[in-house]
Amino acid sequence: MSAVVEVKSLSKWFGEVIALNNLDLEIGRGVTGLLGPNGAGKSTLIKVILGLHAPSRGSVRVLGGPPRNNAAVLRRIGYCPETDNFYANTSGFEFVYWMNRYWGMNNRDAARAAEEACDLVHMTDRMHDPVEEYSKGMRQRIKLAQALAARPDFLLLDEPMNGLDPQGRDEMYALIQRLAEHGTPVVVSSHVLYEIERITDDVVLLYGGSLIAQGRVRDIRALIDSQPHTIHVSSGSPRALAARVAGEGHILALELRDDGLVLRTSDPNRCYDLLNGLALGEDPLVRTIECADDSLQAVFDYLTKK
Amino acid sequence: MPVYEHTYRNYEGVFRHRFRWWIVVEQEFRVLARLRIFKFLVLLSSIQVLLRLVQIVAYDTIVQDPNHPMAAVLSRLEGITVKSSTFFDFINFQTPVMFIILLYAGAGMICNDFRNNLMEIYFSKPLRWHDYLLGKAATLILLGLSVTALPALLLIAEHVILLPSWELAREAVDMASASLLFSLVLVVPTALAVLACSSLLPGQNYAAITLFMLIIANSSMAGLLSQSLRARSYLGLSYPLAVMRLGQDFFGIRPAIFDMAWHWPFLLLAVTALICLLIVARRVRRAEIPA
Amino acid sequence: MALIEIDDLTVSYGGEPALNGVSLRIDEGALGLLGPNGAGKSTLIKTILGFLRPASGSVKVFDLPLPKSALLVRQRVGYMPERESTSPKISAVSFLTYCGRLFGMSMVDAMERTHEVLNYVGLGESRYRNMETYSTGMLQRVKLAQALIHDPKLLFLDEPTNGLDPDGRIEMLELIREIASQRGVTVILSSHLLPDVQHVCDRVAMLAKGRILSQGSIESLTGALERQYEVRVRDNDAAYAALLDGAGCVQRRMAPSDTLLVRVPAEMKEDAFFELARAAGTQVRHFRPARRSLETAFMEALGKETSDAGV
Repeated sequence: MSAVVEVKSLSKWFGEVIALNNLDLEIGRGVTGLLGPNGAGKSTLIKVILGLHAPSRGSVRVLGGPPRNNAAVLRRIGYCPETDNFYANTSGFEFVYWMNRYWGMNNRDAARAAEEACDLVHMTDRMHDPVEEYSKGMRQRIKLAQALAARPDFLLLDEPMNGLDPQGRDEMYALIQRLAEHGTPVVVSSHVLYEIERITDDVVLLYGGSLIAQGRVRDIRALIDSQPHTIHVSSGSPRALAARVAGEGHILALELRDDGLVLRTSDPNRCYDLLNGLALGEDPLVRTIECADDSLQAVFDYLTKK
Repeated sequence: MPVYEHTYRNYEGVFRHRFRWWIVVEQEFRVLARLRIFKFLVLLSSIQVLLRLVQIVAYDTIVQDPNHPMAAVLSRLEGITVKSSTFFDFINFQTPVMFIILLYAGAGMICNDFRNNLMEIYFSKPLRWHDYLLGKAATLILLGLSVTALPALLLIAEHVILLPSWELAREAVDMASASLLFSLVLVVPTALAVLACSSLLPGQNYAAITLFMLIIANSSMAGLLSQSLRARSYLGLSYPLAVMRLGQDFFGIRPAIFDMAWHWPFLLLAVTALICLLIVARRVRRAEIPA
Repeated sequence: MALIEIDDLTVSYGGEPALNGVSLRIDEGALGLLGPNGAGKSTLIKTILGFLRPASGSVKVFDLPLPKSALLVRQRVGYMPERESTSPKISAVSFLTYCGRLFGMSMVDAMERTHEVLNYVGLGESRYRNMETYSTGMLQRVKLAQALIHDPKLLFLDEPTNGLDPDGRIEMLELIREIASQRGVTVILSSHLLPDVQHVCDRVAMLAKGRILSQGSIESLTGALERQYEVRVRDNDAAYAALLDGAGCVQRRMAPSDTLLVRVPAEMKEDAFFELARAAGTQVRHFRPARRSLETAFMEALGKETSDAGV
């Protein structure tokens, strides 16, 4: 089972500015999150994958072939862009319909596919209203409908949750996961990290035009295990707990709070062992354990603040 | 000793609202003054002013003096004479450049604010829709007058100073008021039309082109009507000609372009101006409730 | 005296009642305004700013009745709209001094305040460049600055983190928190990103279909779920899960991470989790009582079920 996107030694520069620097990357099935601060090269990578830019050096293959000027590959990709541009004086349905026609469907198929796509994103009752009247969330759904209408073999979504209310977000998550389960690989690019956390564990992290991490968040997190961890512990008697742990050599820092401690340790394994032991018994010193470095945000911060 | 705090101070100053619309005018002028093309257009508009300055000096000092060596040569030049119609001509010939300046400054005035989503930001401040509208209109009107009435008045003053006499002074008052009226009749409807187009169309260039087309269409229609119905009076339907006709009336110039009482062209202009005003007002009022 | 007093407010917008009998008291602090699209949030904000006239009921801000005192209210309220706004051909300094002057400040005052406020929001030397060269993050900061320049005591923020990258979002949220907590400004934050709201606000009001669904402190809405805990172990997940099963627990994996949501039988003590971990040859790395997320509370209020509900 070959990868959906294969990038080898990809570099892309614009004049003197290098947007992507020697990228080696493979994106496989399932949902993958594409992350990175602004200016990291995310949008350039997306454009290269879509064939909008030719690589300055190196190669990119999508669904087995190079995407640039390659209709066979491009018609299998569904793309939902971040920007909000529509033709004036069109309805949502018309927009999707015409996109389908450009794709190559005939009149009837395009209309049918447009209807189905609008239904999929719950826009059926408003699809004949002009796009100008839509709220941001509705425009977002129409964009997604356009990406899905031709039943793509690969979905690329740029900030798909933008403007959606919590219910819409939930529906979007569910839709993305359903699509992935049906075998359509989905790449989601987003700045809202806790949302990426909800839909996938596989991420690609770009920074400064280079790939700084790829894989499952838990694996990346485990690699960071060799670095000091910050752990929040709640306790009924923080000072007693502090006295108990302060003597341990791996404890680098201790912060006393009203309801517990914040520990910084150079040896997470030993520290957790210690805490686990202190959580046993009738009136344990340790009530709850939370690692501050757990979230994707923390991993991201750690990797980008090097 | 106060320790530096990363924050902003509590505002101890005063909030004073005199003429809110004037703040809009000031800002518009400030923005325009930085644009290179605008500076170029202003320069362009001053060409005729300079020429007229020279003409008045030439006529008043040289031609009037029979002993001057150049007098004979200059007096044979057609159009050298400075009379009432000279100032009419001045304003008349300033019309194209005034139109371009107004179009350049005004085509984007309202549509750009819509496009850049600034309406919500402006109207969430203590600014009413009429302040906004008056400010924009006043900017364009002041711009228009500053290339028509203002230089005309200065030229008249120059003329009187160089050829002082009670008779000329009385005539000058008439000419000045005629200049002012002519300029107003020229500038105000144009300014309102530019704003109307700017408020209706989604882009600066669309607004400019639309207004241009409207004027061409209007003139062509008037021309067609007058030709086919063989009555010159229909020319009064053409906006530029209506303005010119009124100007001739103010300056007491005969024969007029077409034979018609002055109130018809005036009515046309007044109605046009009113319609444009209503259009802009409606669009701006709706913006006060951001979508 | 509450900052905002809304009493049985009904407002029509485009022919339909967008707000239907809404009553709300907003005191000092940070309030999150939540609701699905079309719930009436923007109608509420517009009414408070004096743009819309109530069909019935009353709105008072700073004890000033609306829409009669709209100008007075706008003088003392800051509004950061959702849509991206820019004034491309001028610099941020020029734009902000204009805003200051529209508030009635003198040119000198406006100039001083512009720079102070731009320092506060973190816009550096780029303030002198034309706004067409600005990134989204910078434009958002300018938008926040224009809402603060006149030192308002009430601030409306509509999706302030829109378009910002992860670092920018954190900075913006921290800035808002600082404004709410340290400067005594009442902040009303309207956002669809509920974790953001949870981070910044202490209370929320939920709207749906023009009515108030629920309101209250976030603490009370996100109370602990009875007998439910979140737990994650270092390894040997399967063995651990089996032991939990054996102890009579009902569990569910909080996909896609490997954290488990566990409901324990009444007799089981908390330290059992750690004992079982030792038995499975692993260690507990995350353990705390499960709390309802704000999202769950929101969805429940809306009467729907989400993937995040308890077991």
